[in-house]
Amino acid sequence: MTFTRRHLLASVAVLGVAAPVAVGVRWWDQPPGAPLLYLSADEEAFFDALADGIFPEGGEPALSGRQARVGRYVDALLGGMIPFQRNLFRVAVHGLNALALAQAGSTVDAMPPAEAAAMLSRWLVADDGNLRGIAQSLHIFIGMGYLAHPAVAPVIAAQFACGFGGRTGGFGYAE
Amino acid sequence: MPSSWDPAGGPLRLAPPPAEGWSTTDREETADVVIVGAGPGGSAAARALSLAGARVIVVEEGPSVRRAERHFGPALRYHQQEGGAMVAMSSAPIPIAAGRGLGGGTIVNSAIAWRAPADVLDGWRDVIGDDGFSSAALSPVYDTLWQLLGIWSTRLEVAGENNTLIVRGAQALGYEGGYLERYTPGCVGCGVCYFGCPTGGKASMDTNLLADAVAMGTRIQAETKVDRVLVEDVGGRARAAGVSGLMMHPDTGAPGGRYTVRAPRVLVCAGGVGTPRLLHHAGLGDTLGPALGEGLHLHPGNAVLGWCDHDVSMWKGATQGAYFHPPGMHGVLPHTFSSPPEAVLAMLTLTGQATKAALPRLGNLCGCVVMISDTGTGSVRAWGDGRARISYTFAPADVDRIKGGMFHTARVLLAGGARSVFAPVHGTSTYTSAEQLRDALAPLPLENFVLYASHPMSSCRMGKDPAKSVIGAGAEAHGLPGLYVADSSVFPTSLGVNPSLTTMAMATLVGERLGRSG
Repeated sequence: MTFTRRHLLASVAVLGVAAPVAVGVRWWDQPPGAPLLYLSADEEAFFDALADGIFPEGGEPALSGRQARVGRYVDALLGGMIPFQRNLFRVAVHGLNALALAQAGSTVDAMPPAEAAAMLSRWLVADDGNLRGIAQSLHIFIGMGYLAHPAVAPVIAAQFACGFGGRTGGFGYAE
Repeated sequence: MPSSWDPAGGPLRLAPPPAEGWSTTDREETADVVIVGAGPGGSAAARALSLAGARVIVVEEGPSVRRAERHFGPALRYHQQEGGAMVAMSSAPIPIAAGRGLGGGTIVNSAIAWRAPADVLDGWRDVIGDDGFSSAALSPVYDTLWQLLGIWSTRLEVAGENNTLIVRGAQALGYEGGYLERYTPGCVGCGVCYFGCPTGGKASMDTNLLADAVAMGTRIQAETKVDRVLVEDVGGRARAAGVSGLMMHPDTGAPGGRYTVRAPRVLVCAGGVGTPRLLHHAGLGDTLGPALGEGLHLHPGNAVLGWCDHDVSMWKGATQGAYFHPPGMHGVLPHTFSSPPEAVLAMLTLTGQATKAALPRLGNLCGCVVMISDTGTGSVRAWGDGRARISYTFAPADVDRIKGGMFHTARVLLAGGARSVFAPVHGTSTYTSAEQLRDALAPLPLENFVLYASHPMSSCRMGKDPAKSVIGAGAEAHGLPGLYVADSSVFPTSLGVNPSLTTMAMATLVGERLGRSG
C-alpha cells in the first residue's frame, strides 16, 4: 500500500479524535491558549463580541456571551460542515466585520456590547434579505451555544426541561 | 433472532444496531444487495430483504453511533446532512433539513405518521402505469407498519398545552383537525424529537426496522460517503455492480479508507436531496436521463407563533402533536411547531438585556408551522466537491397558499387562547387579530419570509416515461439495470403529508420484490 496524502490526513485525524470530541462537549472550559479547530482568533473574537451584544453581562442568567465562550462553541459546531461551507461561513464573518467598519467605524470584535447589540439589531431587520438571513443564522448559532452552557441551561430548563435540564422522567420532566 | 411480519408481539423496540465505522484501511466486500442510506427507505428495504434471506449491506454517511444530545448543536453537526447547512437557492433561500446517521431523518423528525392521501396515490398510478403502489397495494403495508412502529394518536397525558391549544382552537372554529398520529410508542412528552429522542420512546429506524434487519443478518457500514456507483459490462450492456465510498471521520471529516461493496443490485435510499446528488456526483447524469434531479418538491412553509397570558411551555409535551385542515385549502397542512428557544430569540430579533428579559416569557409562546403541498419545483445537482446544488422556483399560487394558511393558523391560535400572534416575516409586527396579520402579509414578497423545508422529494421520480422519470414501476432505473431507488425521491408528485411513513411503505414493497426475484 502506498502512503498517500489521504493516509496522512487520516493519521492526523486519529491523533485529533480526542480533542474535537472534548471541544464538542465541553467547549466552555477549554484551557487558555487551547488551539481553535477552524476559526481564527479574530473570528472567535467576532463571535464573542456578538454574543456579548445578544447576551450582555448581568440580569438572569448573569453570565455574558463572551464569558460563556460562545466563540469556542461555534468553532466546535463548524466541525459538522464540509470545508466549503465552513469557509463560506468564515468569509461571511469577515464580510460582516467589513460592513460594521463601514457602517459604524469599528469591526464587531472591537465594539463594546451595547454597540455590537445595536449593530446586530440593524442587521436583523435590514431590508437586504441576505444580510438579514446571515444575521439571523448567527443569532441562532450564538443562542445555541449560550443556552447550552452549563451555567445557563438550568435557567432555561424551567421551561425547556428535557432539552436543557436533561430530565426525562414522567411527562418529559420530573416535577 | 429473525422476526416476521407478524406484529402480534406489539411494536418493535430494539437496541440500536452495531455498525462498522471509520478506519484508515481500505476494504472490499460482497453482498446480494447494497443499500445506500440508513433512513426510513433504506431501513425498511433492508428489513424486507433480510426477511427474504438476502445478504444486505447498508452504507451510511452519518455516525456509527447516535451523537444526539438534546440540543440543537449535536443534531446539526452529526445528524443533518452537510451539517444542517443545505440551502435551496430560490427567490428566498430555503434551508433544507435532511437527516443522516442510523435511522436517517427518523432520528431528528417528529415521527408524524400519515398514510398517503388516496387522491395522490390515484394520480401516481397513472404516472407509474402500474398498480404496485396503489392504495390497495400500500394499505396492508401501512397496517403492518402501524403495528411494528407502535403508531398512536398523541395521548392527552403527553400532548402538552402547545398541542392542546391547536386542537382547542380548531374545534372552536369548526375546523377539521385533532391530535396527530405518530410512531412514538414510548413517548413521555420530552418535546425534543428534533434533536433525537433521549428516552427511546420514538420508533426511529435505529430502534426498529433497521435494528430488526441487522438482527436478521443485515450489516451496516457507517461514516462512509458513497461517491461512486460501480458499473460493469454484462453482455454488451452496462449494469450497476456495487458502490464505493470514502470513510469520513465523524468528528473531523478527515478521509479514511475506501470502502467498496460489490453487489448485483444497488438500492439507493439517500433521500430527496441525497439520492440525485449522489447519482449526479457519480457521473450518471447522462446514463440516467434528463429527469435525474428534476421535479424536486419541498413542502415549504413558514410559522405563526402566539403570545399567551397562560403558561404553554411549548417543549412540554409532544414536539409536533396536533394539526388542522384550513377550510377550502387543499394541500395546506398546519401542525404544531415547538420552536427551540434559540430560534425564537432570533425570530424576535432580540439583542442586549431585552434578550435576557424575554427568557422567562418564552413559556408563554405557542406555535404552529404551515406546510404546503407545493406545485413549484426545483432541481438537485452536485458541485464538484460532492455538495448538493439545489435550486427551487416558487409557484406564485404556493406563496398565496402559505399566506392563506398563516391567516387560518393565526385564527386557530387566537381561538385556542393566544392573546396575540406574530410571524417570522420581515415587515410584519405582532397582531391581535388574524385579519391584521393577513393584511400585513398580503403585499409582502416571498423574499421577506423566513422559509423552511424538511421534506425534499420527487427528484428521482418513478414513472413509465424515461423522459420524465428515472426509475420504472419496479424501482429499477430506466437507464441502468441493477440500480434501484427507494426513498422519497421516487414520489411522482408532492405527497402533501409528512413523508416518512410512505417512504417506509414503498421501500418495503421494493425490498419484497427484490427479495422475491432472488
